[in-house]
Amino acid sequence: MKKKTILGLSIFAVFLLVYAQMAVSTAPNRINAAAGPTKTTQSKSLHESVPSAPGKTVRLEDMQADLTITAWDRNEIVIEGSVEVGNSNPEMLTEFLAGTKLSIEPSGDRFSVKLHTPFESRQKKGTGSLSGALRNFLRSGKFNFSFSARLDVHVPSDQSLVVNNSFGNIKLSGVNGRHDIRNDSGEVRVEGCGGTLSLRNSFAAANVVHFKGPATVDNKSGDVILEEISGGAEVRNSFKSVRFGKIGAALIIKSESADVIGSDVAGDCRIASSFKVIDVRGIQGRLEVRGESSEVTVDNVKKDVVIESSFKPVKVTNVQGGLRVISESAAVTAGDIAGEARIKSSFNEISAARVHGSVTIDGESCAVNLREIDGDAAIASSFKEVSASNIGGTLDIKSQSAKVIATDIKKATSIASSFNSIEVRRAGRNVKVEGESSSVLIEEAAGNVDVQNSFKYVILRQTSGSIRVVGDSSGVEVSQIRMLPKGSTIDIRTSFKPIIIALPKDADVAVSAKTEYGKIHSDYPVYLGGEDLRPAVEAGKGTIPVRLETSADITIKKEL
Amino acid sequence: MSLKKFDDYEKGREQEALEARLQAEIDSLKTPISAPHLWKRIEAMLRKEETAARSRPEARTAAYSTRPARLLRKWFILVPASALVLIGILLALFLGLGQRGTPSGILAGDALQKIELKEREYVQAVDELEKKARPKMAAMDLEMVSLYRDKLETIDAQIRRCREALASNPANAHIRRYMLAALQDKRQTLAELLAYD
Repeated sequence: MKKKTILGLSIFAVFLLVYAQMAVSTAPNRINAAAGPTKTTQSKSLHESVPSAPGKTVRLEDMQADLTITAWDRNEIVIEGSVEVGNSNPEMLTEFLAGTKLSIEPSGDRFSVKLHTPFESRQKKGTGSLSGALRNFLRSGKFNFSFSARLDVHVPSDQSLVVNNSFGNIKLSGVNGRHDIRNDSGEVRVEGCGGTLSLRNSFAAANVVHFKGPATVDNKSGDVILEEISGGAEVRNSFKSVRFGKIGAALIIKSESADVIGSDVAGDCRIASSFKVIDVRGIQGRLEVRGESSEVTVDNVKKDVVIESSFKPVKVTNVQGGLRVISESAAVTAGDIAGEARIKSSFNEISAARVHGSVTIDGESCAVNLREIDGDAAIASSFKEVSASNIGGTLDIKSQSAKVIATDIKKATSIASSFNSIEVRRAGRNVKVEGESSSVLIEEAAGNVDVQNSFKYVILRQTSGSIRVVGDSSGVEVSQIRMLPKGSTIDIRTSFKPIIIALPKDADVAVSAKTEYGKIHSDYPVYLGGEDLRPAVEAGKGTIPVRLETSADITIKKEL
Repeated sequence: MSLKKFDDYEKGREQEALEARLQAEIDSLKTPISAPHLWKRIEAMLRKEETAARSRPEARTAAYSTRPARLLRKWFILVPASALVLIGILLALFLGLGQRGTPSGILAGDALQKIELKEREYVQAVDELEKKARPKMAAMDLEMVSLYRDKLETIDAQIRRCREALASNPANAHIRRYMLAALQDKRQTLAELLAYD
């Protein structure tokens, strides 16, 4: 590279450094931003101060400005700021700014901060500091004056604030007192403050962070963020999300069409929203959720949970109290519930597992799946499969046109369904089944078995108590009877289909069998009996009566 | 002798002395070699060397072996110079931007015109979407109709509020921003409504 080029580059670099240095040393100016051909802007600095004391109230009302309010350790209110105006006429701007003043007016234990502008005096007649031309111009209403203001307010840390602002952002930090903040169309951020807070805003975010005390936030069409509120909190908003974390007491959220997501509430929690996601975790108190068409997720609640929702899935886990879900057309999943669970829904699956109390399910057209329920389980459903396993108490299923599978039921089992199979395995006590056009299979029933069904097979294995089957055109098969205790009976009546029964070889039975049109095959001796001398069996003089009746074949075996 | 002639005489003598000195200088220079075809011979020699260099790889390598050193020297100069230039440019830009201070709350002429144009585009888009949305809303179920109607009314109220504020403060950047946001929100809501199945 030639020396000249290097020299040229170096000179250029030095020039740029000098320019930069000049830029640093030049203090920021009042703007005379020459705008475009039709607009000029001018600005004016504002400064006011007044002594204050802890416990006073500062009011900033009827403002349209960006406000920053910060606490400091001086007993003084100091306000610095600027006003910027724009118009095509520079002279009018100068006059306008001359008529713009900031004041802090004390009154008892209050200070009123006012920003006076000629806009206020446009309706007034008479003289003033404004020229007639400007006054007429403002009164005409046909003007393109534009105005923007910014105020930085420093206040003692123990001061209450009343703010009424619009079309500006508000930031409040480090101030403790009774705060009443009203804003419209501007972001509000309250940080590191304390006392009580009533905040109303709209169409922009409201953030309250590290607030020592209770807070109420009303933000129409604006996001709300609450983080570390040591007191309780109440939120109303719509159409935008609510997020919360670490609320020191009770929390109430009333929202509409908004996501509500948060965790860590030290007290009770009530949430209402719609059409969006509700996700709540870590509630120390009671939780109530109302979410129309909302997807609801709840986890880790120390007390009871009540959920009303529709059309979107509900998932609840780790509840130390009871659970109540009233839903519609929503899939519901519940797990690890310490108390009682009551779930109502429709047209989607209901699933509950590890419930230490009892479970009640009302699920129209719902598939139902229950597992590891310590207490009683009661299910009302239809049209979809019902499955229950490891039930520590009784099981009661009332279904319709649904397949039912029940296994490992400690106490009594009662099942009603139709048009689909019913299976019961390892029932600890009595089993009662009503299955219209349902095939029935019962294995290992420790108690009595009572079956009513039609048109489908009944198969009973390893029963240990009385057996009663009333079938209508149902084939019946009974085998591997474990036990026939004293006082038990076997009574099987059906029609048009055969009965096959295998009796324990040592059973002390008295068998009678009757068939209209079929044959009787018996390992026991057969005696004809009955008034019409149809084949029948009457065998033995045992203590356990066995009565079999059908119009088809009967087979009686002696199990070896 | 007249004065003029004396002056002429003196000047002539000075001239002669100067010429004598000049000649002495010339004489002290080396006598150039008489070489009538020198340039031609130089050219021929150069051509010969070039041909020889091309045919010898080690010669090429030898030639290149001096390049790293030259490059290294160049980079030692070039890199700091470039860095200096870059730092200077960045500083100027950064401080030049910072020089503007707090952003203005008032939109200047061009910026205001652009925003107004953007608003008109949004208003047009919203009007078109609204025409399409009306029949769709009529066919929706009551709950959804209620939801969307609520939301659209809320946004319309915000648009009205912004328009009222802009009537007396037309170039306020904050109000313009929120007006635009409301129009965007309305457009998005109508688009969602139309996409609802």
